[in-house]
Amino acid sequence: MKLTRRQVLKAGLAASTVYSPWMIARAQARPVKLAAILPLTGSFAFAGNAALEAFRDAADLINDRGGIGGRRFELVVEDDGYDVARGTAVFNRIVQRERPDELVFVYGNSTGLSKALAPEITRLQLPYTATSFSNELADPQTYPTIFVFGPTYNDMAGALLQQIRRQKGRGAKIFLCYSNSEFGRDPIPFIKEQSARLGFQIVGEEVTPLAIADATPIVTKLRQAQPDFVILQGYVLTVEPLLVRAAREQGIRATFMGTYYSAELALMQRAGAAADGFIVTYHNAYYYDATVPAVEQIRALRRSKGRDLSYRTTYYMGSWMAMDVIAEAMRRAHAAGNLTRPGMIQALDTLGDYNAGGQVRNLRWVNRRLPFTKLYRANVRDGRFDAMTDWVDGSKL
Amino acid sequence: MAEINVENLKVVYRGVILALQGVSLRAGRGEAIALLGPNGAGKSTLVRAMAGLLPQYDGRVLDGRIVLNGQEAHHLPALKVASLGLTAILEGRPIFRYLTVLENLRAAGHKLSPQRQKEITEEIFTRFPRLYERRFEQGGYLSGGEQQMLLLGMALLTEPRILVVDEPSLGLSPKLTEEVMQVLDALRRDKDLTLVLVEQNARAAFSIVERVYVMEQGRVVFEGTAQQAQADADVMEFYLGGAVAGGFSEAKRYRRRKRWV
Amino acid sequence: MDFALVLQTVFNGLANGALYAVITAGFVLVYRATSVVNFAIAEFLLIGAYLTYTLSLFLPMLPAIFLALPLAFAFGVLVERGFVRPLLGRNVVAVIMATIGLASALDGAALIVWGPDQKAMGAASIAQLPKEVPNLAFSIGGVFLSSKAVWSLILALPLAILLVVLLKYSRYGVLLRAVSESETAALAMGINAPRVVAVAWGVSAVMATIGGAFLAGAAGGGGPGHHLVLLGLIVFPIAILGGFDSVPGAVVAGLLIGLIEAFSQLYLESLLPGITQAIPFVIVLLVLLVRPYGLFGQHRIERV
Repeated sequence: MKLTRRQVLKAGLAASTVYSPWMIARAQARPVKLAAILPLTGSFAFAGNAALEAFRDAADLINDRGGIGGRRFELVVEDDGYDVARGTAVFNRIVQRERPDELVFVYGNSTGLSKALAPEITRLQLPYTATSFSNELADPQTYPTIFVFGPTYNDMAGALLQQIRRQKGRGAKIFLCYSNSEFGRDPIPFIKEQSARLGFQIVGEEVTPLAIADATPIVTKLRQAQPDFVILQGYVLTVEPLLVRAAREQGIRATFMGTYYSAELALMQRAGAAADGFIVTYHNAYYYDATVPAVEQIRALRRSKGRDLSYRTTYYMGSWMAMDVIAEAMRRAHAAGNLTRPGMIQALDTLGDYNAGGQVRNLRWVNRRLPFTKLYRANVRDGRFDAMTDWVDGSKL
Repeated sequence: MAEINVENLKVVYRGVILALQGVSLRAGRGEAIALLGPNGAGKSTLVRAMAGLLPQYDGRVLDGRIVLNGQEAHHLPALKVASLGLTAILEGRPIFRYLTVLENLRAAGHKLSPQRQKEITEEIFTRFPRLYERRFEQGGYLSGGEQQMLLLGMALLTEPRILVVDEPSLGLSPKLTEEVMQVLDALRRDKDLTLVLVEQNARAAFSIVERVYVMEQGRVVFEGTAQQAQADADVMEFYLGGAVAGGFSEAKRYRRRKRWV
Repeated sequence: MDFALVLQTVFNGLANGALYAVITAGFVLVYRATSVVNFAIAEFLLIGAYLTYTLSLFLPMLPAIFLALPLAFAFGVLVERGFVRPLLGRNVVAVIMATIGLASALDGAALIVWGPDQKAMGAASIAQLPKEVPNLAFSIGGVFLSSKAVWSLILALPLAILLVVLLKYSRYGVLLRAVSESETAALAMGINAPRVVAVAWGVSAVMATIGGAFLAGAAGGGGPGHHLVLLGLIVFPIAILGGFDSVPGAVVAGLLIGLIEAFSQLYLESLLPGITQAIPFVIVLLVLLVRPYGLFGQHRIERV
């Protein structure tokens, strides 16, 4: 038996190439590969590991169904610990090691890493997406091979501003609180600009580290500024629970809002009752949303493999969606006889109304991103986020 | 039965440097012996070996044995040796300099009951009134003589059967040296200690010991009573610098080699 | 300036500082006892928080914290025995590299043992709400103190001060300071230096666990996770500020940095975004210019 499994041990975690036994017997054709640079360790390990799990599940499904036109689908996974320097080194290693006719897609992570890799990705004409929704990446003129599989942070902020307009209208007072990082700063200029246009007032602005020990000084400022809305950006449920908790304790009644990375149930788990009413944007399906075909597909696969059927996070769902879309593009590129890097870009660009089992509205790119999202409100009693809206276009303000 | 019995002891540092080349030595219960010889003769190595502290200096016993009070001790760790009743006051006045005098005494007497500790501490302060006056001062600020007294006090608090003292006279005036020797002698008699006094200052040592061993380059080159040593002109001249502390001239070194090697 | 606001900021700053103080005091204790700079201190925080989390799944929050402490102690002793003791006597760089390696190993171990998911104290499944210690938040005359602040002030601060007192006056404290000066001299006096050192590591882990538990939401609003490692890095500027080898210095410096951070976040942050993150280091730099040994650093006793 030809053993194709390769194990890369990284920080105690096995990042391995996924393959299907079914393929070994059959495929002599070269595999088709997706490389994922994931934060399997470090502050974003929760997201990286959820993504890895989704990738493996999705890859199993793809290979169970015969791979991509008979070619085995393989994952090349490496850990970058959410560190740009390490991620860059890992990226270089991967592109040097892998054959261009096999490796047709790279999946990265942070805004920082994506920006650092962008020129090289462009030079290599390598199709790329990331778990970052930075506005700068959605720019096909500069980065013709980069896709943002969802709304940018600007779009998410736009959806929140729409909600503010509905809820309060002109004169709404907004307080911005964001982390001192690319991730945190990304939509801030957009929010300020649009707020001015929409007649909202930015009554306060707070920059913090990604994690803080105590939110009391921020709450003090909220007390002084008396905002109607507090928009949080650039955290991973490190600051949100602390802040809403402290704010509610001190009688602040403002509506708290966050974007994709705040939209996880752990918000309620960590903040408890204080999280109730927290509004977030989220653009995939929640695992408990049984009406979405993709959820049923995931559950069926996991059931068939004997895997844990309990709740999967939003990071899992988003990564599954990305894999679903990428696999579909691969199939179409293969059908067109052009399963290559340029072929992939063409296929992705023409996916049109494909909706990844209901996890996205459609795949009509606008500047290589999908500006649609939904708004959800935290419901602590049920321990869920309740949908407040159907798909909204965050870029339309 | 001898209290201390060192037989053919060989010690190496870092696996290669042979510091003791087969040293034998005995001391009876309650006896006082002196270990004399110039710098680098291996005296301190012998002290470390007896105290079980060789590992601290990256050294080990290569051959031979040390028997303390009937028990093999050359492979025991320091704490076991201490529990056999041997306390060593190492070279260089190793008090705890950042601890006050009282704290130094507490540290040394940590195994005693508070009552016993109090008794002995009071006894120490009676013997050394200076220490009582300076009891709240950090050890590092004491004079050399005071530090030596403190070390003796600390040693008393370990209630030893065997006391090994390395170079107590170092850096002290002749008058202070004399005082330290008297104290050591008094302690030995009062507490029925077996005393091993390691000195370069032979004259000071002669006054309080019965027998002496003279070491040179990792060997014992003379063994006898204090009187015999003092009567032996060669020993006095070549090894003990004419009984003057320190001071070995090059000429003497040359003649010494000629005769013994 | 609003007096109530200043007062509230003072109390909250001190409360936060108390957490810093308790962690740094333990860190400095280890440095004093062994001259080892424990670069894995932030991971001690992480492990302590996770231990508390695990117990909180079965117990109410407060007993969970108290039960986590002996486990943390055992963990600290284990680290000393397994990682540090074999390296004693090696050169400083080797030991530093080892503790940095230890940090990575503990990071990885925490990931393997507890998994990567975002967690909350006392919540075993996603459907559960968090547990926390009894809510002691109160407000008097416009001065508000959060539950976490109150708990920090009544639990962490006394513990940090207790450590200072014990180190100064207790038998073990004296022995530890003796060992810290010279292990050889201590051994010669029959002091069980290896045990004293192991206890120092154990105590350090206990202190980190108290800090870690509250930083991870034991009093509400947070959870254990890798971000604790980021928070734990504050230990280094505080330790340097306090003199690096002084436990009282660590406590005072911890409180001081807590205070300064609180005021900086309130008044300076809007003028200079990001300043609060940098300010501990700026303070350290300024203080070292004037006092090279830090605030409470041991001045070398040099007699000729």
